[in-house]
Amino acid sequence: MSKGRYLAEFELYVMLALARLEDSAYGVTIRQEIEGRAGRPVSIGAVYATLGRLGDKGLVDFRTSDPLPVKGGRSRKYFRLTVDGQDALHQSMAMLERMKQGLELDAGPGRVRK
Amino acid sequence: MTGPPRFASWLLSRVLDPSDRRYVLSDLVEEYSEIFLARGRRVARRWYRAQVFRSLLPSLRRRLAIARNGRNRSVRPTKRGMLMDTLTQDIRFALRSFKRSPSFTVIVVITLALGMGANTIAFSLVNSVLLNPVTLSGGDRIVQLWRDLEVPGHMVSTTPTRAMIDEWRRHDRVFEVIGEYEEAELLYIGGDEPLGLSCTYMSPEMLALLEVRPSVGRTFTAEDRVDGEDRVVLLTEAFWRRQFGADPGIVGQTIVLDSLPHFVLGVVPLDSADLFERVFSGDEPQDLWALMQTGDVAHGFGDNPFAVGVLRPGLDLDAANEELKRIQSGLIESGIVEEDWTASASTPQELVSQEMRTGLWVLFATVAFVLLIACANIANMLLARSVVRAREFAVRAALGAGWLRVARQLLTESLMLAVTSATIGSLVALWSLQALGGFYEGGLARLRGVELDPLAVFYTFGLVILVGLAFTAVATLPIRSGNLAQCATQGRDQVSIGGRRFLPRQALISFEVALALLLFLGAGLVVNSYLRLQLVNTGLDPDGLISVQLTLPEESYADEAARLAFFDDVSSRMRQLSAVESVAVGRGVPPRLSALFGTVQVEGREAPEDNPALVMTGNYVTPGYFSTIGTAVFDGRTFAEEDSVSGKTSVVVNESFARKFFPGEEAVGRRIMLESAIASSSTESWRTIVGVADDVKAFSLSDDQGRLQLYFPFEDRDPTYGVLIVRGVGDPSALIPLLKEQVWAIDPTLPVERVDDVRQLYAGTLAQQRFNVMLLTGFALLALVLALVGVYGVISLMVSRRTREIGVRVALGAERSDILRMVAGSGLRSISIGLIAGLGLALGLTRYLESLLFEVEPTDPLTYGAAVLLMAIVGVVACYLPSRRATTIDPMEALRHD
Repeated sequence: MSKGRYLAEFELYVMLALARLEDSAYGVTIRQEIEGRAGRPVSIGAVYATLGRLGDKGLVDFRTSDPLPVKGGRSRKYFRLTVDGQDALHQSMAMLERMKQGLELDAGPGRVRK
Repeated sequence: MTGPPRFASWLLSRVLDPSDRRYVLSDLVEEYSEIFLARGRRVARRWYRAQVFRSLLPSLRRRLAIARNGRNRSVRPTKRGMLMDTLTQDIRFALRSFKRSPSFTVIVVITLALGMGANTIAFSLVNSVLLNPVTLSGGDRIVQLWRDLEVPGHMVSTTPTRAMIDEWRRHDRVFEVIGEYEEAELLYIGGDEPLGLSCTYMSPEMLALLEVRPSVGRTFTAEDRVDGEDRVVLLTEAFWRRQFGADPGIVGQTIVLDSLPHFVLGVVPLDSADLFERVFSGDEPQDLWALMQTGDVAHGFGDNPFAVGVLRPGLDLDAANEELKRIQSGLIESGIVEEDWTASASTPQELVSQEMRTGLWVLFATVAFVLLIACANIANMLLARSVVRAREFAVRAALGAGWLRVARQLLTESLMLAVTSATIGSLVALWSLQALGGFYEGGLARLRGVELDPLAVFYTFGLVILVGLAFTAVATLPIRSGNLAQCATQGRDQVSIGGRRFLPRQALISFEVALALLLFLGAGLVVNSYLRLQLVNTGLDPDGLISVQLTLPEESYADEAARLAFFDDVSSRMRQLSAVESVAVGRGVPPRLSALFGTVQVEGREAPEDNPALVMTGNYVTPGYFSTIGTAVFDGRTFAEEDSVSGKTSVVVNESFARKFFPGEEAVGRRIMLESAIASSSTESWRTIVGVADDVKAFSLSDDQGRLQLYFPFEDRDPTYGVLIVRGVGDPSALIPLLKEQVWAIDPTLPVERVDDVRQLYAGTLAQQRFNVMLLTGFALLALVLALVGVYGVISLMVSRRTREIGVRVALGAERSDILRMVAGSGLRSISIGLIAGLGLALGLTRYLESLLFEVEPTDPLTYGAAVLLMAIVGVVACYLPSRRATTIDPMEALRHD
């Protein structure tokens, strides 16, 4: 795996969110998914910036939907992981798994018992 | 429900990447609405602001990252990558738009290709003939060295003496190296016919200076230069192929030249031979290069060779001339050279004749004007098209394209058109340059070896960029002048209102007409002058006249008597033939007479203190010469037996000579003495003028050099060579085999090669003029056609745009003539302005043609009148045709017209 494919923390969250949401991943749902699960405020701007960056790396791609069938309905940009993206996510998760082996993290980060 | 905070939305939209903008905002609105419905306006608005606030930084960072690295799928996107991406998009788009209007594309490409091809040709010619004739590493330091004598009116440059060359070699501060060469004709027997080979004797320095790399064998070096009988030669590749079928086995063998064995060292490649001939030997093709032996020099051969020097780096021509002057005064002081002689250096470029030089610059300017006209036409079409495309641009603008983005699209289109045209143009140029080679055969030797210059391709490429930029500027005019969105709403109607919108196009019409008139006038003057040249009286009757130079080798013709006997014999043999009307022998034949530089003394007159040396023409002729060439002898008589017996006592002068020296007096019977300015050792005596002959054009139809002509009895000079002149009945070419037969009946080893038709010799002296006429009229016609198309195009466009207006006018009672006046009037106005401007331009510029013109003033009223009239007619026709269509418009149809 090339160096460029290491995922930053927030990138990992976004990709995990995409993996969870499957076909319904667009700005609103992604933001809400991360905010809901991570329990911290997430800005829509950060989500799009990260998606853009992941798009540049070829890890996610998108399709735009037809406008919603209501008056003034807008079209949405639906994102999903590419094959490379799934691969990168898998690798990152595996790395995380390896890194945390033998550690007890239950007490939360920064307070590891010796 | 109230919408989200406006300022926040606006702020965020400024910061967001445009491709995400509307999705981000719509996502925000979606959530905002949910919160609004569930928790009220205040909470929703606070939420919205917080979202925007926290989005600003990441969005801005993202935006900057895109600006820095581009938006690319690669891990580290590059700026170039992004550019390429939009470039391919632009190119694809351009291709689509060309496909939509194929006729537009084809016309533009053909017009431009013609213009660019012409410019590439002109550039190649100018560059290889005028700017850069010597393509050698030290090329700009190579100079030709001369010994000069000032005669009234001009300098006569001749080759230097050995003493001068030796002295120059000693002063090696000036020259790195000095090479010498001398031309000679060598007799070669061994092929099917005896051949007189053109040979250049060279010092080894010449080969080094010319950077010769032999294609077979080796070149000669200083070591080969020994005083002995071993003579070494190089064959030029052309001769090697022609005579020896490119057999490499000839190298290392011995061939007999002038009855002496010569050892063949190697073969000079085409390009080296060509370079030498082009630059140094007046374009005469050479068969052999022989080593100038030190023994030759000792025996008197090579006393006055041509000299070529390579200046030391840092020295220029002026410095060299300064130094030569200094050396020369030293030589004069020590009595080694005569007092009147000076020395000078010139660049090889200066060997190009003034007519050729002017001709090429005029051609260069002409094609530039043709390209300008072509560009004006295309600019017109582009203007028309971009008005039509205004709607398209407006749509693109609505989708977020700024005018710069649209301009870039147009630039891509323009450059694509220009590149395609340049490619086609270069091919046209390549092909035409090959065709121009035909002029080499026709006597314009300079053009030999001119080929498509790599530099010319750069030049064309430079033009491409300029033209592309200019077109973009034109095509974006309508977009810049207004607001893009305005274009969308106004569309076609806007242009159908008045004439004002056509203003730039009317200016283009005037511009085209002015340039076309200028070119037409220039061509007219040159044609006029060429026609006059055709009517020039040569002073002889060239029809049915042929001539051949016969050179008698010393080995087989031991003394003067033997040589005179030969010419006598061959003349009387030829005279026997029924196809022959008369025969004469001379030292030359017009227009190939030799110049004489010397002073004239008249018996019984005090010789002026400072008797000036004059440029004259001299010929040694047999008694039948005047009647054979058809030149009248007005006063006195032609030569007779007694003149040849008495020896150096009689002379025939021409009318100009008689008028100059004996104005209002009888010339016949007077005695004159000539003193050569060059060969001071010649022994001349008083000669009696026995006759006065008509003036003959001695060198060419166009110049008056050699106006003073002198004729001496043939026997007065040892005829080591002579020109046999034969007037036949019927086709002159039929005489050639007969002539060979008679010569070979006497001496089968004598070369009879170049048999010239005198009429063609004269025609050959007009090669430069013919070249000018052909190219200038060709380009002037092209310019005329382009201007015609341009005017027609603009007027037709105007008619079709104003159809509805015309319909309304007709419906309201306008007469046909009113419509005609309205439509044609504006066109004719532009044409008139163009004609006036063109006349002004021509009055200012045609004076540069002066040196190309013969008996025609650069402001010749007849030519001007004819050209203006013709342009006016063409202009009226181009206006009338589309205007007539306007008068046939049916008002009902027109009002339905969209």
